[in-house]
Amino acid sequence: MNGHALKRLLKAKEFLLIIITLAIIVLFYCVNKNYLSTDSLRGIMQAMSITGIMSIGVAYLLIGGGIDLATSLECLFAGVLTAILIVKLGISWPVACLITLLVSAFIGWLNAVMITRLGMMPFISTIAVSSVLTGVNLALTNSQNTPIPVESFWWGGGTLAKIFPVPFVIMIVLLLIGGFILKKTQFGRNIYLVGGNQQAARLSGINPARVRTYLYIINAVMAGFSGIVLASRMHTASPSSLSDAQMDAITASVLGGIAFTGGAGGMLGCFIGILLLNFFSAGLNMLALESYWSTISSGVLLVIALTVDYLNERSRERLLKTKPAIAAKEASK
Amino acid sequence: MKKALSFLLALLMIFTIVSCAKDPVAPATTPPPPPPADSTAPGGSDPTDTPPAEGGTIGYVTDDVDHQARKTYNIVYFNFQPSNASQQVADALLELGNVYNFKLEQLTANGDSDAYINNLTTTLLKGPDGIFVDITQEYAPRVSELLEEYDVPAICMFNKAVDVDGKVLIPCVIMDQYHNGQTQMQWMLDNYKTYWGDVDFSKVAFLSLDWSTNMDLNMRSVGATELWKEKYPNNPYFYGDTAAESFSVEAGYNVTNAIISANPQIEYWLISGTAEDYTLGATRAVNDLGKSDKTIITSSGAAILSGEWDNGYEGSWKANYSAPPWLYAGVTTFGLLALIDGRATKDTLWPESFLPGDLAPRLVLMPDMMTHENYKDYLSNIKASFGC
Repeated sequence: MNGHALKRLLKAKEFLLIIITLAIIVLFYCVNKNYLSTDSLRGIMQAMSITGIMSIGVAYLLIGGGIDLATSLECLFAGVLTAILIVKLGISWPVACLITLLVSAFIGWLNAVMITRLGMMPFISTIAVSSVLTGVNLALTNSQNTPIPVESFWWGGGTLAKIFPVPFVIMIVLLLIGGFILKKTQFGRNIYLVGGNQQAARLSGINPARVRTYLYIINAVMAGFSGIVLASRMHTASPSSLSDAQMDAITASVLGGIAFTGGAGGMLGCFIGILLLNFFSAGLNMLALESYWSTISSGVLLVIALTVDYLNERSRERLLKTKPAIAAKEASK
Repeated sequence: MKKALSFLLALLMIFTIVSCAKDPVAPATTPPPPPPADSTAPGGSDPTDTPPAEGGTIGYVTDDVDHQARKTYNIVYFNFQPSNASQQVADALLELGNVYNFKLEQLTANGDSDAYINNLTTTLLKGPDGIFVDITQEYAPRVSELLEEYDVPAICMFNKAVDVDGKVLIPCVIMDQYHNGQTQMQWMLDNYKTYWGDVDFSKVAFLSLDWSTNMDLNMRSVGATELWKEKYPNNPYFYGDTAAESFSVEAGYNVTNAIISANPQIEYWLISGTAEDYTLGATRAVNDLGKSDKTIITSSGAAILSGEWDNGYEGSWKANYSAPPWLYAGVTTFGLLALIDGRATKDTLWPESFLPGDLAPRLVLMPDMMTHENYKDYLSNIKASFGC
């Protein structure tokens, strides 16, 4: 590695995060050697996959300058819908999953229409959608869990090579595809432009409303897919759990260097954010601490994430003022 | 585009209002069937037994009252958070309404305590004959004040409605949660040989899944853990508090997975799930870790485990300390009807459950352990004991 490459690595947004993650892993490993046992690692990979899949859509949306506070509910709704299609309507599970993803895409499109066409605030309109989905979930299931007694649908609990949980492998594949689209395609570049400066994007001939519409649809489909995976893993669909998943996905994305204000970040950072969050959480669970310590620790982690985000944003703004060409190049990396 | 969407939204709103304005289920006009003579639930004493001689006889299923001879009461069931259990209680109350001549309106605050107080005020203004409340300690005093102010009889279920000194303010139907935890632990200790044979008990550990911020759930954990420590002081025990995560299946999975995989030296596990959602997650974690045959799990509740068994589940989740929704619904119904009829007041209802210092009775349900062998009879017998 030459000096220039090393300098670039040290300056990378993700580098600090990797160091923090490694420090956390070493710390918990010193406390309990079984923290890195096969069973433990499999559990951590399993635990991160739902939030991880959800994070891909959340990250896309954040980079494009949007936010969807109904993501957790979209995830739960997808699980519930899949369960109802399989159990109550007797539809085969692959078809049920396909229908669920289409319905999820429709929900994403509705979100986008409210925000881009009707000019509603994303915070308010997606909270409203979240409220609607809460009610729909409860109404569809009569507030009951819906067990899915179809063994072929339980692939979410399986493993590859006896160590990699299937949902984790799916998450990695989706992250790679997500990263490729972001970095190597015109659509990916458009997302950065729309998130970074909507006015400039419009002047460059991009239709920001259309890009955002795609982003809300992608986010809802990812949330829907994570709901299907969750239902598959638990063999049941719950209408009212998983309230923290979207906050975890947002935290992981912001931790990974995705700017809350849009226009910066990438899938690698997002993945490291997910790793950090889940290794941290698994370590706390392993210590079996009282909940207030876990709550305090999670809060501190979020404050760190926001501080890092703020510092990144400030340095980007400073760079934009002094060297706009370099800033644009940095943002697209 | 905007016009079309506005039109669609307006249609949706009209449809919603019309749907909401639908009449609640009308009560049946047939007379109620008499309660069965032998209503004992399998495996132990009947939790709905006639009260002892020194206690009152009003407010029980054995009341000799013709409920069809009076007007139809309008009763509200206002629960704090929708859940498997609360919905099953609501379903049971609807059926009881058909038999015991009351209409039921169901409301929920979706876990928002401020919304609970505001909507309760609105509900009380409509003048229902009585109300079932499902609240936690933090806002019990305010709920009690409102009920006094509007003079609406009420029964609280699931949690104690107490003031800061722990005095019961509203008649309530609860479980002894400490006893709940101890019963679960005792059941596991009594039955582990059935599943594991004669194992070296030094290789057995206990994991209690808790939600420490809820007093009732926490007491289950405390009860189970204290009995474990008392009987096996040298065996390890672990405390998995999920309050930092969410009240979910996922939280139960993550905590159980982390603790068991961090302690591979332990061969056998006894797990008390304290609430069914966590327990479901714990069973999946145990299964993924290949420990199903060496783990025994118990919990509290009936809704999820009976559903799992109905779908052919035969894993490590073996039993529940179970006060089924029908038990809560039935017991609270007869108490509330006595209050509305004026046959009792909150000072005279269930006198044997009135503790010194309290301002209202606390009727403690003492259910049994529900197992795969007895669950169908157990649940149907409890339902039948209320004449349904």
